Amino acid sequence: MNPEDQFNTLRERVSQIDTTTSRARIERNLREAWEQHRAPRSRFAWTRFLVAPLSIGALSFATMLMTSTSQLNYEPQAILTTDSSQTTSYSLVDPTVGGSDVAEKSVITNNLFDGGTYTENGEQKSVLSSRASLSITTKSDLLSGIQSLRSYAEAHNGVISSISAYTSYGSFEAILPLSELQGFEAQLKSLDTTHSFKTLTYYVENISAQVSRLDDSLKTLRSKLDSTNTQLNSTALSASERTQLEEQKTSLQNNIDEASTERADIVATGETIDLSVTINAFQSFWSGYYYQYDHSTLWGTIQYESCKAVHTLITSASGIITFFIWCVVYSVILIPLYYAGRKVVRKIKVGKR
Amino acid sequence: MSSYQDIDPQIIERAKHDQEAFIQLFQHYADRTLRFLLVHTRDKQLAEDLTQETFITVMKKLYTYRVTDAPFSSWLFQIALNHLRSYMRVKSHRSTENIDQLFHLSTRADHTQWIDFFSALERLHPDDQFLLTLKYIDDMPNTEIATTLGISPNACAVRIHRALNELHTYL
Repeated sequence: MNPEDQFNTLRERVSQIDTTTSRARIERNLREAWEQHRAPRSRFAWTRFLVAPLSIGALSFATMLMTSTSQLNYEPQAILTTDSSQTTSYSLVDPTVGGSDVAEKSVITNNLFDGGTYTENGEQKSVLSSRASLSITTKSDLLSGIQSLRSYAEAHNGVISSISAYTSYGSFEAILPLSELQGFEAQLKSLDTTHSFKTLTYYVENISAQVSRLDDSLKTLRSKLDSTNTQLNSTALSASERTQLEEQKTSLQNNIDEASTERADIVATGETIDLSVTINAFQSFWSGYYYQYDHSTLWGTIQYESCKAVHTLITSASGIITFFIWCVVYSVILIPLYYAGRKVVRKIKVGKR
Repeated sequence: MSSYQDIDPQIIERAKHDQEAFIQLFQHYADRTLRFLLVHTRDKQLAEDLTQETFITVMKKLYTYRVTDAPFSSWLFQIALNHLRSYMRVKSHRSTENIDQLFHLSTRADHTQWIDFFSALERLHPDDQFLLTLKYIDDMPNTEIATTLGISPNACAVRIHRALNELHTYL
């Protein structure tokens, strides 16, 4: 018989086979299987395998965050007054919590009359000691900025105390005549290419009491000197007594000179100001230094908020990446365990059937 | 031309998430699959099991299926063939005990003739066996067989011709 004819016969015979019972049985089993295998029908069905590792990863991540909270809470602080009883600290990181923009507008003073007054030429006078911290952000070179500060200070008859420069900021300290402060500030603002000039602190202290104490001391010393002079003018003195009185007079005169110099210095302090300038290098928008933008203007606010959003996004993204790294680490351990466990469960289920 | 109509692609799409559509899909192809597997296994229970396994695989993998120019039956028979190959790897020789009852054989001469036929068929390469059964039992066109087996239509025609000749020599 020809194979093709045999195949045709076979096809006829096969078509006569009643498949109703088989179909019904298979259909019933398929309906059961449908209920069991409903989940894998999705394109993203594989994601269900990540549930367990992700959950444990999330828990681990949360634990990690909680344990490191104490380290994250640290924030640099600026202390605006040296008087411990009136110490007020503001965050330098975020001006919105009461930082530099507040400091810019406020002048922090002790009660100026607590220090009292001193008398000079019959007039009541007072000496005020002034200190100020200024801050600018510049886009130009940091070192050349500091050099410019130095030349400005010298031009305003200032005395430079210290200069230091780091990667992203520099510090400049000088003593300036009080009358030169405004001129110096005007020049300082020319360096401020980002319009971020800020007076971080302005501290004034009444030190008249020190002058008054020195005046009292001088008065006593002078009366002692007058007394010594009177004794020296006496004729009934032995040679040794005269020598002793001469020495005492020299000593008193030295003390008077020292006290006078000190007094003059203190009085002169009232005419100068201790100035501390921090010059910050401008950081790019993407580096997240959002607090360098002045958000008192509309454009500054836009920059501030945008930069803050980007910074938050970057921080969050790094957190998410860290989270996924944890998940991957845990997945390496958990996924094989998950499959092994599932296999065992299925075997048990099959055994029960 | 094939005597079978391919199923409406909309039913296939619905079958991805709808149980009744899937059962409709099963009903459409159940006979073809079952009979194809029956010829190869000559065991009704085994053919039933393999058909069930085939449709369970279809159920699990249907979300990956995209409607193309090729008919759905090509994709379905690829799955059926994979299950059949797996079975044949384990058991190369199939029983012929039930052929009388299965294929309604009445005479002794008829029985001998069919035993010879199945023995000759088993001597062919498994892919050639599939080619001939798809061609003559399922009445599948060459292009569809070629898609199912992953060969060109020309190669399919040539291989059918050679397989028939080879089968003829064994008979």
